[in-house]
Amino acid sequence: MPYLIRASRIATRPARAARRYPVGAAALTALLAMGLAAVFAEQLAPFDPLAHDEANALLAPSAEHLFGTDRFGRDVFSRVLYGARISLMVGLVSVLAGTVIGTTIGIISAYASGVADLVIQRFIDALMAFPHLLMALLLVVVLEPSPVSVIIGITVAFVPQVARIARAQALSVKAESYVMAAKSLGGSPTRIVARHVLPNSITPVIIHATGFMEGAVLTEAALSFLGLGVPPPDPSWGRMLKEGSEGFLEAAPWLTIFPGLALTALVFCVALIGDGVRDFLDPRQR
Amino acid sequence: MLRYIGLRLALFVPTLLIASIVIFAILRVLPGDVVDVVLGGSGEVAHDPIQVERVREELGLDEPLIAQYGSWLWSVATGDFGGRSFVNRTPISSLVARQLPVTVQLAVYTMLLAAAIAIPVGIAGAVRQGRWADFLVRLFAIGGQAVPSFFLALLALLALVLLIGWSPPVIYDHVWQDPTRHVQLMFLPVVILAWGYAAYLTRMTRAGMLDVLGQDFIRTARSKGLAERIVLVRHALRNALIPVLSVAGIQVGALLGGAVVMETIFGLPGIGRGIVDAVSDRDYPVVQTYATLFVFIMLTVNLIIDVLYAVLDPRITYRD
Repeated sequence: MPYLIRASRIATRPARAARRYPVGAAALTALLAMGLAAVFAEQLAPFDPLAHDEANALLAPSAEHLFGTDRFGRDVFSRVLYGARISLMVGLVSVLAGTVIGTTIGIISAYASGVADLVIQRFIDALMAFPHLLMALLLVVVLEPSPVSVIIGITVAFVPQVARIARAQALSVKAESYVMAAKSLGGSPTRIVARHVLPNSITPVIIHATGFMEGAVLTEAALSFLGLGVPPPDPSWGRMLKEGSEGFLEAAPWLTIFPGLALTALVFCVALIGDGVRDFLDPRQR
Repeated sequence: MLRYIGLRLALFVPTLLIASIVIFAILRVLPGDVVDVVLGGSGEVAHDPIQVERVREELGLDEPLIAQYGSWLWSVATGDFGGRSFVNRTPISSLVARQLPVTVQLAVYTMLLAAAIAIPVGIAGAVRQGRWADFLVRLFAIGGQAVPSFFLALLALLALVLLIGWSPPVIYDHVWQDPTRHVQLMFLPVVILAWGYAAYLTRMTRAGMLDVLGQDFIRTARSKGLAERIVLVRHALRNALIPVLSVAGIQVGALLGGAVVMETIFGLPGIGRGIVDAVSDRDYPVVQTYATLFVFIMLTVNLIIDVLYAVLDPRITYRD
C-alpha cells in the first residue's frame, strides 16, 4: 500500500502536503473548524439554543443576534452552531457504520462465492433499487423519529453500495498472485482475508466514503426538512430550513439563509476533501 | 447483445419482488405493533377497540405474514394497488393514476435537461483542460453536488418574490391542460434538480473524454484529417459516454429523492409528496405501494440504461 507511506509523509510534513493539495487542505481545515465549533458549541454559543424569548422574536441579524432570531425568539446563530452537531454526528457515524458493515458483507460475498454470493448479490440488487431517502424514510417511520433512527436509516441505505464496491475489489484481489502465494504457504482463510484481501480492497471504499458522507448529511437534512428526521426541539439544519420557510421565507429570510449556508458549506468541504482524496489515492482519475 | 438484454429483463422481476418483500418486512416485521403505529401513540394509550379491529381486519393482521404479503401482491398485480388509503378511503389505484404521471414528467424533464447541459459542458471542460473554462466547468459540477436542492429551491423562491414579485402557481396542471401554467410550475424544480443530476454527468463526461482523448485511435482519426468536431463527437464521445451512463443510473436514486423534496416545496401532486404525506399519516397501505412504485421506477430507468449501454458498446456481454 504505497499510499500509506505517502499518507505518513503528509502527516509528518503538513506544510508540504498543503502546498501540494491546497484546495483539499483548505477544505480539511474548514471541516476541522466546523467540527471544533460543534464540539465546543456550549462554550461558543452566545445564547441557549432552546430558550424561548418571545419579546425578541423574529429579530433581524444584529450585533447581538448575529443570525437574527426565530419566531420563538431563539438565537439562530446558537442554533446553527448546535445544528452542526447533528449533521456531523449523523454523517460520521453512518458513514463509519455503513463502511464497516458494507465492506464486511462485500468481502464475505466475494469469498463465499457460489450460491451464497448469488443470494447476497440478488439482495443487494434489490436494496440498491431503493432511493436512499426512501429507505431512510421507511426505517425512520417504523423506528420512531430520533437521531439514532436517522443514523440507522441512512446506514442501511448506504450499505448495499459499499458492499458492491468492496465485493468487486475483493474479487479482483482474490485472483492476485500474492493471495495465491499466501494460500499455497498454508495461510488460513481468516488470515488471508485480514492481512491481504481487506487492506487491498479498501481503497475504492475510501475513495467513495466522502461521497457517502455528503449523501448522509444531505439525507439527514432532507428528512428533517420533510419533518421526519430529528424531532424538535433539537436544532437540525434541515428542520430549521423547514421552520424558516413555512410562512417566514419573505418576512424573516435569515431563518432560511443561515442554516442553508451552513449546510452547503459542510457539504462543499466534504466534496472538496473527496476530490483531494481521489487525486491522492487514485491519480489516474484526475 | 439480445442475450444480455434478455438476462437483464429476467433479473427485473425477481429484484422487484425481493425489494417488495423488504418493504413489506420493514413495515410489518420490525418491532412495534402496526396497529399502534397506525393509530398513533406507542401502546400507552388504549385505543378504541372497534378501530383496532378495523385496522387489524383491513391489514389482514390476523392472517399469517405470507398470506398478508400474498394478498397485497395479488392486489397490485390485478391493478388494485393494495386497496384503499386508511386516511381518506380513496382507492390507491386512483391515487397512483393521478400522482405517478407528475413524478414521471418531473424525472424525465430533469434527465433530458441534465443530459443536454452535462454532455457539451463536460466535453468543453475536457477540451480546455486546466484553463479557465475548465475551472468554470468544475465549479458548476461541484456546486451542483454540494448545494442542497431544497435550499436552492427556497433561495430561488425568495429571490423571485423579492426581485420580480413572482411566485409559481399553486395549482398543478398537466401539460395538455394548461401548458403555460405547467411550464411555470415545473420550470424551477426541473432546473434545480437538473443542476444536481448534471453535476455528476458533467464530471464523468469530462473525465471520460480526457481518458479517451489521450488514446491512439483519436490521434489516428486526427491525422486522417477529420474535422475536430467529428473526432470529438463520433470517435471520442461514444466511448466516453459509457461511464457517464453508469453514473446516470446510479444517480437516479438521488434524483428521485430530490423529486420527493421538490414536490413538497412546490406543491406538485406527485408520488414523492404522496409518500411523505402517507408516512406522516401512517397510511400503511399507501406507503407500501408507493415505496414499491419508487423501486419500480428505479429498476425501469436502470433497465433502459443497461440497454443503452449495450447499444453504445457492442462488445458488452452479460457477465456476473
